[in-house]
Amino acid sequence: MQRGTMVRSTGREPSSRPDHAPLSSAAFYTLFALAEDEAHGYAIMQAVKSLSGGGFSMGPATLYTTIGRLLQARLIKETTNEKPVKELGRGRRFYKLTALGRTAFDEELRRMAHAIKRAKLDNLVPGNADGLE
Amino acid sequence: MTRILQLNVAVYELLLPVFPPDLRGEFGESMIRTFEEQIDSASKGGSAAGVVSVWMDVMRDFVRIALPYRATAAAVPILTLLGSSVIFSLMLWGIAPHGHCGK
Repeated sequence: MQRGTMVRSTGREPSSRPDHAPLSSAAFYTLFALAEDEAHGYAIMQAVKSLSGGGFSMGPATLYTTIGRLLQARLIKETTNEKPVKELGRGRRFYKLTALGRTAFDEELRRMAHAIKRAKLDNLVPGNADGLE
Repeated sequence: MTRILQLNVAVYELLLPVFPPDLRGEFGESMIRTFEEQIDSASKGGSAAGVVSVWMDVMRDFVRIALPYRATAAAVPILTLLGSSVIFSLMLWGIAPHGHCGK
């Protein structure tokens, strides 16, 4: 894992944007999975599958590479030490969103919403794209 | 743990060393635990498709993370060896007598 690698997927954005935007798909869905509550790795994976409608999934290496980068960027933090021992087990670690992570997630949602709004105005959105299947 | 689960986890543990050492060092145990939970859940569904899907994600991990890491790790000694060979060849060429001898 490359320490210090930012979670963005492309080049630097204009100065007013947070340093982490835009997020990679893995980073975005991991933040999305943690937006409601803290979770451990397997629960994050399940949530990602559900939130993406099955359109995005990742293996353990991609998940923990992403978690490592998000921890490094201080967008999430580990909460394993705050959990009761009975909830823990071999290799089970819990993570939650930080305030910075919440801001980055909100910013990403706004960016996506703006893109979708613009695509709708330009009649680029397919007819069935509104409905969640 | 069922035998199928044990077998899948054993194969995954064998595959783990191909991933970058700092990823394994920090998250190796969690990766195995997560994989075990995925296979456990997929095999309880009774369909092989779920287990195959878990392995497809592992293969994608291999292509996206392990392969580039291994390629980079292998490139450094290979490029060093090639560079040294070129420099050594140029030095030999420089000191060797050349074919245009005069009368």
